[in-house]
Amino acid sequence: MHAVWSSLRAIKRGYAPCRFGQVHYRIAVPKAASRTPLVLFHQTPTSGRCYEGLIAELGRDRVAVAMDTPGFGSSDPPPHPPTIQDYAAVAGELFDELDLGSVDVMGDHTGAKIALETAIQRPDRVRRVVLNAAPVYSDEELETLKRQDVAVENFGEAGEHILARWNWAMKQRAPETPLEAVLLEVAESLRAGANVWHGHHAAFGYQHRDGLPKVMQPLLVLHAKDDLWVPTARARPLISNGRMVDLPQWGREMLLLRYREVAEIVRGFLDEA
Amino acid sequence: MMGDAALYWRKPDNVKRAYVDGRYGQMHYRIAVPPHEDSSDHPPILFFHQSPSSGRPFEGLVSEMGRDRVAIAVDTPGFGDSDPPPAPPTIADYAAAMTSFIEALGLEKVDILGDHTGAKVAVELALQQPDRVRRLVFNACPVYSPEKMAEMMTHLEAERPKDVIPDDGSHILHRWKGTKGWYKDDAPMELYNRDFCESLRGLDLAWYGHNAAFAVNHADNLPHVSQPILILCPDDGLWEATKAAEPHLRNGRLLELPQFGMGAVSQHSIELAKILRGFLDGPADDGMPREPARSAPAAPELPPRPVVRRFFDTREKQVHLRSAEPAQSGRGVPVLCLHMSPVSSRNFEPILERLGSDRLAFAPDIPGFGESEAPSRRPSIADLADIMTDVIRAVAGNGPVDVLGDHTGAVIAIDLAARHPDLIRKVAVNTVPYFNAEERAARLAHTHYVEPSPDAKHLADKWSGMVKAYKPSMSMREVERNFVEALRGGPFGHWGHHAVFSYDMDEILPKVAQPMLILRPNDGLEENTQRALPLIQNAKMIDLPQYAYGYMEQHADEIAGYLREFLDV
Repeated sequence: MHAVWSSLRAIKRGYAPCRFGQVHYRIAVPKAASRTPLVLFHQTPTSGRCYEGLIAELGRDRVAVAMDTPGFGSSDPPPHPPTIQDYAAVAGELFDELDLGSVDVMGDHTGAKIALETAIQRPDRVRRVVLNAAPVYSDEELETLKRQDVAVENFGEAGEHILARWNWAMKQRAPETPLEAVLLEVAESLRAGANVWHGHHAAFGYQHRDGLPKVMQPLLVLHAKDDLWVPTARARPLISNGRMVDLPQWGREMLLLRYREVAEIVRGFLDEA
Repeated sequence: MMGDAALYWRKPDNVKRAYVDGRYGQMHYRIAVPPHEDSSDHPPILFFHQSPSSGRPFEGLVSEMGRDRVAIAVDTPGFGDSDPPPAPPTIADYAAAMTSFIEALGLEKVDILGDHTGAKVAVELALQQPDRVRRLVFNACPVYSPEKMAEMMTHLEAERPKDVIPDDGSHILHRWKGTKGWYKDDAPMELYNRDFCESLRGLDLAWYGHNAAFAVNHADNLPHVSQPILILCPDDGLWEATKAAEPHLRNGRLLELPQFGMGAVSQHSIELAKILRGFLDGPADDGMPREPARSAPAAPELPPRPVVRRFFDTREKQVHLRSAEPAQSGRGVPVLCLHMSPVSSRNFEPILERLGSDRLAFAPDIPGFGESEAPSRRPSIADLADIMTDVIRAVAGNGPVDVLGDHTGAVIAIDLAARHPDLIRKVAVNTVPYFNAEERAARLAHTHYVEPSPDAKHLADKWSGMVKAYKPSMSMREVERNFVEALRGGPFGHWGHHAVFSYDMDEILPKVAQPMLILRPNDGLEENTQRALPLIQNAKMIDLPQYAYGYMEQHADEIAGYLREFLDV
């Protein structure tokens, strides 16, 4: 009962100092690590908590870390609306603090942009890159997205913003996702408070169409049938050193519920000769 | 006609103008100093203007009040001649700028008159710097419904600068006609003309003022202000909304001035000065409700310390800890702070910062709350106290430590003190949640996990319950923050209350031999606390009827003062 809410034994949590205060992470360390450590970046506005299954699974043969993006989960917020570059710079500080050496990176939605940017900022440190969704937008689409995003949430005594967050999560929910997992996601999402828009604001200010061509490292794009299915398909021609895997059978619940299968795909890519 | 021109356009001789450096650059002000400044026993009075305007409309009042005290009208940053902030500020930013102004002039305690937006800045300043502000006067103090607040934000669009300035100047005429309606029909044209000219000086940033003001509702903040307040309610278009503020006053009253309209601060400066003197210089005992005559001990001359978070291992998985400690190793006995359920140690951050200046102050998330994992089985109070002995040993060695407990945390603190007298030196609690067997059974019956339902009823019920309990003494942002923390426990979030309602205090309370300090705010447990007193050997109590939920954060300096006095003497 309540399995989603109980942390897996394999996972420990900690903080590292960073430019914005303290950055929080979850870490799984195997008895014998034989592979390059993997660092994972979450989508916004949730936190690393929603990826515990994936971290524990990948942590069976490598050090696996999920970072809370500054301002989300338990990580201290930046003093200003940050950019993807700021988030990536914090990730670089975390690599150093944990003394990880060479790393692989993986990111989900907003986290995919952070992963991509770390690969660009730290070509010496980042070995391989996995992105879950890499949407490529037209200028018109971007304008619409940015406008949706900047509205700062106001709320009254009825708690409309909380119910809206729940209803949004329910709309995205796959039929097999347990309600407790939705509750967990909503509980994590609300933690950013008034600055909840910072993550998407940063994401819409950073474009895969600009970043993808700059990545020299081997790249895997997971293309699940979630809300970014259509724009992610447009990224295919921008991948010069890597591939896109189509996963039409899975949607937004993929990393939460299908983490064992996803771990196999990721492992296959990261560990190939 | 020339009389009006002189009245509204000529600066009185005893008013001087000057600049100081403030938070956003230079700040401009008008000042009048009495001939024998040193002999004046009245605190200085500051005037904060409405927006968009400047300190100029206060020239008459500054001149008049300046006869027997220092009187100063400051231009809000971005208005009049004060440098603007680099980005749209909040009311809190303006208040911080005013603090920098007060500091730059070397003023200690001040009285403030705030006009419209200036009233919101004054309220915020009184909350940010309670020791700097003595008495407050507001000219208009509107309280609106959330719907009306949202609607006002849309009107703000019209204030924003236009891309193209029409070459016929029609935008100025448009504004002239648009704001004229705020003045009474018989208001002198020179008064309006002068106010209008001042209102234009904010140029393209003039909307910053209302942008900040409309984001703050007096209803959220007024109940937290303990200083005496006089609200002037002129017939200036905000009559009904200002009258709605009166029920939110903790320590103040409202004066209806139907004969005054917009611009009265200039037009009726002589009469207003009389009203101000009557309120500011009157005896403290004027029939208003007061806080009990007890002052908190002064804070030591030590800077607050930052709160650092970390995890460590105990018998029950990882425990999450917030702590603060002196730069050099601590002098005082370490203090363990135990939070109420279902929130977390986050609520202790302001107390940790302050107590951490001369001792190690540490607050774990009780397992199952905040970031600490729930125990594998539902714990009793004794189980939680046993885990706390691990926390004490991991953080503070063999002790002894002092303990501060809040509600559920108070029950754990009492159990710790009774069963581990070697580890615990003194006990401070926020309320004693004492319940008899019948009360416990009744409450236990309602203490269970509410499963999520697709229609969000579980969230809506929890939210409205917290709004009901917290709204009277917290801002909505504070309510939201507590709600978010209360969600952290998920299916285990009720375990704290379950432990409390399963715990028999009759046995344990007489066993606490350590000195105990009981803080008793107005949070619904006053009577429970009262019933517990005969069972406690060595207690003293501080009644805080003016405070309710959230007060340890909102008044951390004062509470840290009480705690120091108890812990260190």
